[in-house]
Amino acid sequence: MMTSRPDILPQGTTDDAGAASGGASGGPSRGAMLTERFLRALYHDLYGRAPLRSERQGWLGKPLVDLVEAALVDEASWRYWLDVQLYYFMLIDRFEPVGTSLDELPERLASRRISPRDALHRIALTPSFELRNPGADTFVTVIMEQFCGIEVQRSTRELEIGKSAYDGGTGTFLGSKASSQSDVIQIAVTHRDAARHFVSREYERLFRTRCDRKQAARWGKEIQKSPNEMFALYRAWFASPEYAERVERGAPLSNQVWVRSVYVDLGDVIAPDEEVEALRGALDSLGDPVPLRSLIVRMLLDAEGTRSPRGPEIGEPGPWIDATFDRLLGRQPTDMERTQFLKVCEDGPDGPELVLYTLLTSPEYQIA
Amino acid sequence: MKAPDSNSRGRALPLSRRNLLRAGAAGSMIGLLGADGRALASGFEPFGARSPLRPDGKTKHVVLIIMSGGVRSRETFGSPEQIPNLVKLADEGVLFTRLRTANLGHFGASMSIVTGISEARGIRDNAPGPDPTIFEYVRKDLGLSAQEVWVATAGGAQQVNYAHGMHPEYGARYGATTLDGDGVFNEEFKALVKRFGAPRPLGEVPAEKVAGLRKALRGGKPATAEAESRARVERYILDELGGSTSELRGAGAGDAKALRLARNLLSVFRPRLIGVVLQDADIAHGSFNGYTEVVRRNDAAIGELVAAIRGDAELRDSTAVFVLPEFGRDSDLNTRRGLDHGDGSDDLRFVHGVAWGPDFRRNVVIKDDRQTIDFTPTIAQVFGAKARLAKGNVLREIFA
Repeated sequence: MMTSRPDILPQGTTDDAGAASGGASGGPSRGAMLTERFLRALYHDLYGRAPLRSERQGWLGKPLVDLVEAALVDEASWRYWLDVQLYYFMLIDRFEPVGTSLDELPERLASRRISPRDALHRIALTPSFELRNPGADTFVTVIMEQFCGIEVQRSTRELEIGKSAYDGGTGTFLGSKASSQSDVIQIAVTHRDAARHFVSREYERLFRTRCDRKQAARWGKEIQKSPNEMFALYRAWFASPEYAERVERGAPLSNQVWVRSVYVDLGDVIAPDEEVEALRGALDSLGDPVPLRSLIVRMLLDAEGTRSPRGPEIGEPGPWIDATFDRLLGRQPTDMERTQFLKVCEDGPDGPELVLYTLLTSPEYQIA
Repeated sequence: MKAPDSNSRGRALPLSRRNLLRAGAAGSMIGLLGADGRALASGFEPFGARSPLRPDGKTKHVVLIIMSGGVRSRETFGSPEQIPNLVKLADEGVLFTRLRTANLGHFGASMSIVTGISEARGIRDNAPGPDPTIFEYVRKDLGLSAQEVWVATAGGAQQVNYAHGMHPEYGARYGATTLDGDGVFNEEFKALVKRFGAPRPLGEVPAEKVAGLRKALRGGKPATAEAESRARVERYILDELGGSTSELRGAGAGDAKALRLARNLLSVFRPRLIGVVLQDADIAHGSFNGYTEVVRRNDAAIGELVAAIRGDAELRDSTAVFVLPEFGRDSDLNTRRGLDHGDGSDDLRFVHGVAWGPDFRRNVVIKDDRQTIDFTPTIAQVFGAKARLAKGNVLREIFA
């Protein structure tokens, strides 16, 4: 197991369970219990959405490590992981692979019957990948850039060899013999630079900060040697003090995660994939998505399934406001906030709707 | 002369705020709040008449159209019958016949045009670049608001990154307001809005309540001007959703939406600078005929945009237009009878470009080598701004 090798764990991470040391930085220890805020952040990163009511009830106060362990063998979390990877390769909208062998990847990843690296390999072999990257020049360029992080303008010789191999010629591409398109993919995916690049971009995705180059090289070396070690690395990352710091800092929600979270937070429902994609596609088309997010919230507040509760449906307004702040923002309201929100909530049947609209469009809700 | 506009059947309509707003009027008012927390009035407050960008010039507005997606000169000025509108523009302005460029991928090469620096970017990179863009230079130097500088795109999420770079002295706070026509006005989204119902209006009293709640969340501090700007954009999007932009279909529909968006933005916001980044020509990898169809359709849409400018009393004699591709395509067809972009030929490395406007020379052809990265410092010059980090040169020969 990777966790028996301290050199592959984040700094400050203990080697017994991949859990972090805690202490002054606020990092969790093996016994760290899940708070509302930490649970929400973990769900954003592991499942791409906020937790459902039943999940909150099930996990709040439980050890963080237990949730990470459970998510890493849960097909649903790997479905989100696959979404993230497809987005990275821009295999979205009309290029999204639908009804392909990729559908089985989440289950195989959850049961460790395929490694993340080999799952990426499968993505590159899909017709969608070829459609997205037509022609030798584009295809080989993307393979070199996205898998290995190579700047092709500085590696024009490799690019030309790769293009030749793509078209059936023979050559030594990235140090290995290649004579076909599938050789080009295979060589790039298993190249040492690919492992390092994959670790770096995954670290950046989860920690929202650049990965130290030397550390990435060390991790990459291990992953290249044993691709399944990536599972242990994910586990160690989520339990590390660095991840706790990232939760403390907060980070902007991607449009996809924001859409899915709003559905959960309003209706306690998982958003249908086609609705997520339509809304994500629209939101992605704005440099600043905030104006459209505001429109979408108002639309959902009136829609069946995510409709806002009316005044009497919430019971006692005071506890409802406290609970709503905790659930949506991961904190209790200040005295000023409680006073103002209570006043609005008690001042007419549309009070809860105005409260939810305000909180869901607040700058604080846009980060997690 | 009436400014031509087109409805979904292509019939001419006058280009006016009234027509644009009428198209999406039903159910369009929602809970939009200004900086003071009050609901904004129905419709858009018109911007006042602009002053010239430079005391010695007439130009008040600039439109930069990047025919990204890879377009060879052979299918544009090498086949003038395909692009009558661009030819007319060139006849009335300055035509460059040898703009040098580099095959940096669509994203990198287009980014190079807006930064004035040849920069290698991954084809599928999806992050802002390190250098400031023309949008940031003019916003910072002229103190322009976000609503005065726009980018309309056709290439999806990736092209949103043209709005700004990550340079510490510039960055997002000076970025352009960016909309991708094919994204926000896609049919799936519009269908969802139809199914759920357009957002209900928020009356004055609820709007004031929300303003009070927002103020409490800010710890009692007042709202920023950014909030008002976002509220206007929110209303604009809703109006556009009710309009005909989302109904554009067929080869090059994404580009057509971006150009339609630019035309509408010019009418509503009167931006100082608007960039339009197209993408659909890249269909050429698999279909040469599809590619030439995109070239023709884009020429027609550019013609409509220019006609709208000519028909607008304020824009007519105060708007400059720049048009250029980010790079060309290969000399020869590939095995699929399409055109890739990677052979290093002159067809790939040199493109034509046009500069047209009230302060530019007319009917001039520049046959000497220039660069696509020269456009950013040149546009900055038009604005009286300075593209401090750009590597390109000001194209001084265009000025009258």
